[in-house]
Amino acid sequence: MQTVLKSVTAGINPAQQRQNVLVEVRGLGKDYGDTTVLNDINLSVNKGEVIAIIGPSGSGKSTLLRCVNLLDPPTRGILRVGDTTIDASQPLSKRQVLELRQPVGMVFQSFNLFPHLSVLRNVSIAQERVLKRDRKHADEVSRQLLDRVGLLSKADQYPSRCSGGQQQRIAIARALALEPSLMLFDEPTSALDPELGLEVLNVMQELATQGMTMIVVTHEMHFAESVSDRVLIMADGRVIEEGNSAQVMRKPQTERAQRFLSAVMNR
Amino acid sequence: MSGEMLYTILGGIQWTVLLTITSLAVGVLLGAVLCAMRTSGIRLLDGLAAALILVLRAVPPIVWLFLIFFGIGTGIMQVSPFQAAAIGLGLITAANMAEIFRGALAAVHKGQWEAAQALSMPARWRLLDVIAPQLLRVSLPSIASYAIGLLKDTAIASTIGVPEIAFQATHVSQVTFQGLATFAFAGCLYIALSIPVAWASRWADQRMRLRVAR
Repeated sequence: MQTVLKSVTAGINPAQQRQNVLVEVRGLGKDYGDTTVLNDINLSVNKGEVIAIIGPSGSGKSTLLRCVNLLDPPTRGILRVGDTTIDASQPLSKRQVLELRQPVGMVFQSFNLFPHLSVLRNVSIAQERVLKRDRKHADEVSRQLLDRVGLLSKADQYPSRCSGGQQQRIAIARALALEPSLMLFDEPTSALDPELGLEVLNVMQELATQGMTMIVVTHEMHFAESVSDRVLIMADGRVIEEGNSAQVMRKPQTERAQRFLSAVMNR
Repeated sequence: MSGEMLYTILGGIQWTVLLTITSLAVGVLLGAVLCAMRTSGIRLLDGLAAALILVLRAVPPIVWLFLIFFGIGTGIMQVSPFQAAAIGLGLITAANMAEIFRGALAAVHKGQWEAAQALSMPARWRLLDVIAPQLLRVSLPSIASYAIGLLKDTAIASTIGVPEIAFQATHVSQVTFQGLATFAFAGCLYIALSIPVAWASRWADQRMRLRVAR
């Protein structure tokens, strides 16, 4: 699949190829004080592609994801999302940050729904503040999205009345409400038991089928292998292996990746 | 004690209530500003706010009122007794509110800021739509108990001539020589005023707790 894609893109002119690449990360690094947590990360994500990032805890997976929407601004490197490019070594203006971030939706491990707002308002609020939709329009869009994740009946409840799996699906609807072109998932099922996790994974799988571009940090090896197009394995702040999901998961090339995969697969 | 005397003391209620509300309003607004400075991460603002909070809280309220009314009021610019009391009590309240807010801020989960940021909500709306309501929810019980304390502390405004309950009671006791009855009546008025504040706070707290119960 990977090779097929390459030979297809080889014939396309650079500008057009650039258009197909939604996210580009070049030489990205992140330091916290003297500690380097990400080093020389290179990644490009095509439109409609689903990338899974796996690896041991502390390998920098989540940090990389949070660098992509500047929740944790990278220390160095070039980052492009859609038409916005930033050079991380230069100071960023607020406008640049918002411009880069707006087309990027994010789903967190701990859901982070707003507890003081109803489920409907959770999905609506950013539409009003960011897309300047009026309340009626925003609520209407929210109802459609809640229906899409199977939770329209919860619209008037508060998040605390919903199960973890439901809360995470609401969080997905909330992110989708801003019509993102890229969705980031930071261990979306890690706080859930397997059954509730499955509800969330099903919604994500459906999103993938509908052509959403996604980067998913996950410990769900099955999801990484079967849903994602490409897998990145990270360790010690670097990408140690990258490629077609089935290939990487079944026949990892590096010794470190083999060690990690045999540890998680044999559980 | 005649009905007219009781009526005189009752006339102090409006000033007590007005002074409490004004000081609380000034305190909440300035307290929010002080808290913002204190948590800004800008060392100069943080230090300035910390110093202000310390000074405002270390000096007794009565000294503040005298300082403002007799000090500034006679030397620099004209202030009425009510204005002096509202400024003095308002400033002290601001210092305490800043600390209440700062504690509450720490109780609002970091993920709430991040979620609002990830939704690219502008800073103003992150604060108003997401953080402030949760902050208020966490700090409401502390604000209410401070308000009850403040209600009683307004009695010191009588020393600079604000015609509130304690001022009227002092006046009546001097005329009637019935100190016990007069001040007991004044005391009952403070109790009667405190109870609704406590009730309202409990009611609001329970209502909000029902909503966001985990």
